[in-house]
Amino acid sequence: MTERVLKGLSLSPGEAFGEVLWLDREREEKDQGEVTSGNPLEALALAFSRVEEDLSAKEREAQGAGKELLQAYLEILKDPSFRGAMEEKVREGKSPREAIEGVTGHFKEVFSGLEDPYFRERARDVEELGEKLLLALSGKVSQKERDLSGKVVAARNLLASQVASWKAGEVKAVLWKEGNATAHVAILLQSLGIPAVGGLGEALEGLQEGERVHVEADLGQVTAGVSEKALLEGEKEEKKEGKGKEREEALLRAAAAPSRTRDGKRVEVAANLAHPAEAPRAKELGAEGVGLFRTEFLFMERDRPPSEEEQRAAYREVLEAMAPHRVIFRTLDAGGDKPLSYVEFPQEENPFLGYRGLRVSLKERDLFRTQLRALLRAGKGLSVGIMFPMVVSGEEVLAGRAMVDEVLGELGEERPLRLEVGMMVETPAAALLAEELADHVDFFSIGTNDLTQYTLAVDRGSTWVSSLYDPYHPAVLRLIGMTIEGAHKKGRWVGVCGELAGEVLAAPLLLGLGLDEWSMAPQKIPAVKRALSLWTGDEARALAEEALALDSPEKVRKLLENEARS
Amino acid sequence: MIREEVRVGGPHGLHARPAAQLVQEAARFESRLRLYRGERGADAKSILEVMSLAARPGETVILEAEGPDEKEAVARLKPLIKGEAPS
Repeated sequence: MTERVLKGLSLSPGEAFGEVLWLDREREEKDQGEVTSGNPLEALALAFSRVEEDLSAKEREAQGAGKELLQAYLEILKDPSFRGAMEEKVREGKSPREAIEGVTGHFKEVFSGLEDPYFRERARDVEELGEKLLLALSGKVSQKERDLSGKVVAARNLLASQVASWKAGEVKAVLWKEGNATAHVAILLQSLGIPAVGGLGEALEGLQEGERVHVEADLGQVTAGVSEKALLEGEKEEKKEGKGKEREEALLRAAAAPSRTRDGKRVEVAANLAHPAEAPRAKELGAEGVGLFRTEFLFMERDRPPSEEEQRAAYREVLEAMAPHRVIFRTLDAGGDKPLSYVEFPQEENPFLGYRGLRVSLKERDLFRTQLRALLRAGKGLSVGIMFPMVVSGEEVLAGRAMVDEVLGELGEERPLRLEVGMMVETPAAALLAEELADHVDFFSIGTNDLTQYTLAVDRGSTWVSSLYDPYHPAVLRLIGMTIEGAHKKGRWVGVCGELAGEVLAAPLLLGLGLDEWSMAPQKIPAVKRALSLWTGDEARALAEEALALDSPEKVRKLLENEARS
Repeated sequence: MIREEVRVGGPHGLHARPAAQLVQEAARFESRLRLYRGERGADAKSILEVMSLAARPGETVILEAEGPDEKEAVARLKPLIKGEAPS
């Protein structure tokens, strides 16, 4: 079988080779095969006892976040307003199915209508319990537990209660038809360290039971139909990494210390986060702050914008989890490729060169003001950074800053202890003007993914040209160098929050260019901290100079590979 | 009947774990126990209703108890709402 690539969303980072095991392809639809015989009240009671038994068994096995979740589910099963209300409906003549759907539907609606994101999430819990009860009613709950160890699990429906009882290192990876990174399931998978790709849609259905796949969850990508040879080699590589487990543990211990170069210079290694729930894990992995907090999760997939209070609570949660470290929030980065239902977007041929990032915020002033108020209020007594995405000129930064100052003027005591306002450098324009723009900001954060796209005129999503996409291109590196140089002349600091920051290969290069802060997916922190500790500033500078004089990304990579230290 | 104002404590207010503790404790009393936050009311013996109040730290809720053991119930539930360890 030839190889084919499936594209989805990264739910939980990591990489794995393995064979596919379908979790629920055999399962019947939940509205078939209902138990209709006998007394409906008894049927309902039977469904409850089956689900309770199933969840109790899982709860005994589970640990940490999974265990707490299951305990909460068991408590809901006992709730008189839940079960009692269903029994009431059955007594009124409704079928058990109608009763379950009616009561779970009611609570789902109640929770979905709440402002607070934590409590709104409870709608999913109720929905999941309802599904389990319906399944139990049709006699499907106690499907034989299959041995999932060493498999790449594919699933149409994946319930948090299923995942909650899995153990770290057992399931190799998860491929899910639906899902987004803030779903309960995704957060559990992250805490277990199981790589996962979601949102695969119909493409997932093409996977065969036992088919060999290569999962690159960081890229949200699955390669199906890999050869046996490739699989064996991949697994051998994994084993080697497994043998490197001690090394990994040593890395993790070392990552707890502040990051320093070989000659003792302090550099900052921080985390990129997209949800407050990821913060504790980032801290465990040695993050010395958050260099990029993506605020989009609050704004997507809803009918109206989040309130100031809802935003404030979410931002406060990250800040408290990371304190005393700094958290840098990127203001809303929406565009025509990820539109919001409550903001008007134009029809554009190319949304990447269109109405997006700060351009939207400066037009949707109420939305922008509310976000800034929430950010500044959340920062009370703590260290906050705010940065604007997609900036090409000084006027834009000044307009953004003016809004920050205006909001600060309205606030009383409720403001950050320390506030820094910065901007993303994602366009060649911003990099070329760095020295001038530095007059208006406290810091720059280079988004190397977009900077690479815009510099090389390559859309990394377009398969015909994506091989030309390479952040190691000397032109991109020179722009990074210029940005840092311009900022340092004005006494500002510079970070990188694109994928390049998380690459061990790039660490000495970026150090040599003078970078001050690296921000990356949390699981990459230990290895990058170590890589940085192996170089002195002078050695790294010499390496960077050599790289910048080359004429292709291939030559740069070759140089870095030859010089790599471990 | 007793009605008392209580300030919600704990890091996240009455979320899953504190709500579960509160409900388990409430279930031991015979009295009718209700919580109010603004216009919303909840049966203190129902975890779903308690969570649907979405009570956050610093907010005030009203605890209402009516029945033979109402005094003791209020004394036991108050510290749980405040986020203090049960005595």
